Amino acid sequence: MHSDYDSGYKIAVSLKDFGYCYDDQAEPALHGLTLDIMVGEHVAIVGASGSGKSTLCQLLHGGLSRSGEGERTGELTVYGLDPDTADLAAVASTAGVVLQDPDAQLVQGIVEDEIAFGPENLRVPPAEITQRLTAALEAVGLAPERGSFVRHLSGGQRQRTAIAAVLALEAPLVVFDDAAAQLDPPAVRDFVGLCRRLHAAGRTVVTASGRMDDAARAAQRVIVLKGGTVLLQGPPEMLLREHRAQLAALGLLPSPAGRGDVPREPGAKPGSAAGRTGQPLLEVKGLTFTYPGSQRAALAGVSLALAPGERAVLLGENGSGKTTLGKLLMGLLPAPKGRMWWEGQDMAKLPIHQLATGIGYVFQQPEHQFAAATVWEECLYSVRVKLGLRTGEPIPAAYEERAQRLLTAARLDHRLDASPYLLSGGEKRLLSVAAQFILPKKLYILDEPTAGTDYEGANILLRMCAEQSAEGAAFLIITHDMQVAQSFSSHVLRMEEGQLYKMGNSGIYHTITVDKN
Amino acid sequence: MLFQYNGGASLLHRLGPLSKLIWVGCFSLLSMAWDSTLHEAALLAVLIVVAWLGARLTLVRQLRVMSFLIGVGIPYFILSILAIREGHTVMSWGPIGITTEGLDIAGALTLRIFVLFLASYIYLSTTDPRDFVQALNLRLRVPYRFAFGISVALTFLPLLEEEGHTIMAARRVRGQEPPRGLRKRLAYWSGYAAAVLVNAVRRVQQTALAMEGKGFGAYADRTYLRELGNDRFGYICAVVAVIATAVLWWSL
Amino acid sequence: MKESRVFAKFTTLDIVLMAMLATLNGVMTVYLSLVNKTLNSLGGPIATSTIVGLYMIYGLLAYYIIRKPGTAVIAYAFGAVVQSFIGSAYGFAAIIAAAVCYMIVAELVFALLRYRRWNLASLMLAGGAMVPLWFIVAANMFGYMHWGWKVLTITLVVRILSGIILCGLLTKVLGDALNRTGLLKRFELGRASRA
Ligand SMILES: Nc1ncnc2c1ncn2[C@@H]1O[C@H](COP(=O)(O)OP(=O)(O)OP(=O)(O)O)[C@@H](O)[C@H]1O
Ligand SMILES: Nc1ncnc2c1ncn2[C@@H]1O[C@H](COP(=O)(O)OP(=O)(O)OP(=O)(O)O)[C@@H](O)[C@H]1O
Ligand SMILES: [Mg+2]
Ligand SMILES: [Mg+2]
Repeated sequence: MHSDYDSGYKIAVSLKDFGYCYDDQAEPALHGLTLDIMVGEHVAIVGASGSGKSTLCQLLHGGLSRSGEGERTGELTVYGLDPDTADLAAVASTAGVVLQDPDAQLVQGIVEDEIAFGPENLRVPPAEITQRLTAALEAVGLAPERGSFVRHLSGGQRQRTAIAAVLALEAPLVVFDDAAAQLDPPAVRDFVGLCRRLHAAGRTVVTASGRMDDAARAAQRVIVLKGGTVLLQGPPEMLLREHRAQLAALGLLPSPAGRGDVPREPGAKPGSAAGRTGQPLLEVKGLTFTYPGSQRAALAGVSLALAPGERAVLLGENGSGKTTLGKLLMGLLPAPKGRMWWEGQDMAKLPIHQLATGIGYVFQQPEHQFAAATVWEECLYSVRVKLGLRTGEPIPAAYEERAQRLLTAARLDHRLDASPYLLSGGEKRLLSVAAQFILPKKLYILDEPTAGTDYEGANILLRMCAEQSAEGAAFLIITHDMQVAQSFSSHVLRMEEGQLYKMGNSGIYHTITVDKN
Repeated sequence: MLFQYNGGASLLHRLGPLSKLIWVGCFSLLSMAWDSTLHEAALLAVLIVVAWLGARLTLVRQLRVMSFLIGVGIPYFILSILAIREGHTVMSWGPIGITTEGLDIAGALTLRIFVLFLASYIYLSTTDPRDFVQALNLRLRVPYRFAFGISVALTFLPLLEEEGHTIMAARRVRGQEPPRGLRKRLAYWSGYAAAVLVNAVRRVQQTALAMEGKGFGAYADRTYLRELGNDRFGYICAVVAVIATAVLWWSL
Repeated sequence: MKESRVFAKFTTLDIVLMAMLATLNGVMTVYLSLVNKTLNSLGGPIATSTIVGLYMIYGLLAYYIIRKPGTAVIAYAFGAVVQSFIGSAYGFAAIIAAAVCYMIVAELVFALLRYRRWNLASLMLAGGAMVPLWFIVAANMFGYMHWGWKVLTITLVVRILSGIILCGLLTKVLGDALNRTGLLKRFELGRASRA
């Protein structure tokens, strides 16, 4: 199979003193990059949030240069071509890039159309497209959703679609920019296997992520970026052996110290406050939900109770209904009557803005959350709404101080005037969470808050959560990150095909039953 | 009134997108050529039967979609009656008079609205937009980049709606109350419209780059996974429709 | 199947922008049909004529942003197809006829201006000029002719004013506001304003 992709080139990607600076940005996002990626090599690019990984990935198929948002210096060739000047046909048939944000790259309405779109444009005969389509769907475990509308998929399913669509291009160079960030653990394992298989078939594979994760460890060579330039590179075992401390300091490895910062004991003991008032903060009984027009119930009888100060973590496969539950709890989907209660009141009767005084919610896609023009205003948005202040009117100093503190903690203090949309993936994520912490809430529902962040970012986030928790806030965190589950939760819930289970210590799941007292 | 194609297997579903378009054209032409209530009513009756038998649209459903035209139809009917002064007077009230001809023409004009609407409705509820795009490209030789603009637009349609909801939700989640009072409402809704528009333009950038990343526009032509079947029956129907229209036009 | 020289100039970005504007127009017409109904029952054809400018704005806005010959043809064609597929009270025949009328006039106006003048006056001229042709066609199609000359003249004047203000002026306002967000850098409007 090797010969399929043997194009006569030895070097797949070559960068010489390469740099890239976004418009209106003082510091270049990439600079002084000199490196070669060989044909057939499996390379992992790792680096902290904002180190320039996505910038580099987007330059490899010329997308970023074509968007005309910045200036390039130095030399870049991909299979002997400069992606900026080469014609589209050549670029699209040499490099397939899975972008970090799945929503930014899904352009057709239906999953199979999306996957077939690339090969159709490259004039692949229909019979072969059919084969590629089946193979790509199989590779990402999306066969059952073949005919679904992309907009009806869960976050992880969209990410799978994005991967499948690029696989179907069958380009010799495949780039995955944090493409496993929202996948469930079994799918991440499959993803690592997929990278190995592509590599074995002779393709050049480049992955990027903010962590020295399994995908990075599976690579032949790891390139560590810091501040837009190469800091270290070498085989993963070598880096882990000789530079472990440095990697940990960059936030690319889980630092034992960092995790220790998160106090294990929640502010209020689960059940204790509930015991006092006799009332859980949030209660759900036999909640079912089916999306309009869908055949399948997204939630099939979920029951759950959260006491003040409790820290619940919700795990579960892609598409199992976690986000659906979160949205229902926030009032973002039409709630059935007599199934959910917030402090004893039926939630079906509470409007969102009223719920929002008690519940903080972070969307799975941070972009969905942004409502203001700059990072600073984004962080203060709820304050303005609460006090009825318009943009431009001064904000009480106490809030400004708090915003400053939160943004500094989130490492965003140098980007206060930037548009939230122009941040890197991890930065967006941290901003969306920080903005929810500006006003204290009784319950925070965070949908995959650590997806796509480096370990340091995840730590920062958990510290922020712990701080709120110490003040008595309850948490429901949806995640695929087992480390979050371990270090933060007072108990772990698990969603399976629309049903909620409590995970016992013994590893045996049993249904949660709500006490009737 | 967002109608969307949702599949089906009726006779009309199986006809090709272009031959059906010729049918719609024939009905529209006849409807515009005629100016009498009786003729328009006959056309409407034929269409209702076609929709019922050919497209499996139940009478109830047809009534429901047409009911929303009544709000347009009735004022239009009254206005036309009052405006037309020719012919034999049936009733008069000071300056207002109703004539036989007025009734006939007003009836025809009003029914015409229903005919034009129902013909289009039958078409869009039995035609997969993807087939239409492909027919534009392969049969009418419209360059595929432009034909695909249509498919992009139709993909955006539900997406925009969804993003509109999300933008609204993001504000509510931050504690934004629904506005009260005219000033506040105006400010709120214009802010909202601006957010939707800006978001839409941001999408344009993203989508165009993503499409090019997948080779859109790389060549002058492309292949299709689902190929349109041949539409011999459709063409026969279209020819019949054209001949029938010509005959009716000249004879009535 | 080669694209003609005129059309080859349009980039994917241009095409997607026109598609998006056509979609926005489709959504807007759905909401406008409610407004239209109210206006219709309040003041008949003259009242509904006040907002006709809004129905044409997407094409003019596309022209203002893209500034390539042929923009109106493509944008209005997209608009017509989108409206057809989401359903419109007026049916295909009217939608297509209206789009063709707008295309012809807009292309003519900008060709006469040699694609060089993009100030408020030219946009208002285009907005106003797009009205009469479609008005004559629609009058025949829907039998406005029977209403008498007085009503017809008033209606036409109101429509032209609507075209000048709600299409011409609003295009300028919206286009410039969008340009300020920095999202139009890669279009002719963005380039022209930076130069
Ligand atoms: N479109 C843009 N305009 C301006 N600045 C940008 C833009 N996109 C990214 N940046 C900035 O460039 C730097 C590098 O961003 P990039 O997205 O490449 O980071 P990353 O390594 O992918 O991070 P993450 O792991 O968080 O995704 C960041 O400081 C980011 O804020
Ligand atoms: N708007 C929608 N319309 C129809 N079905 C939907 C819609 N949104 C989600 N679904 C379906 O509901 C199910 C649950 O989706 P949900 O987003 O809750 O999953 P999730 O557990 O959050 O998954 P992930 O880990 O991938 O984010 C999925 O099968 C999905 O396809
Ligand atoms: Mg990134
Ligand atoms: Mg989810």
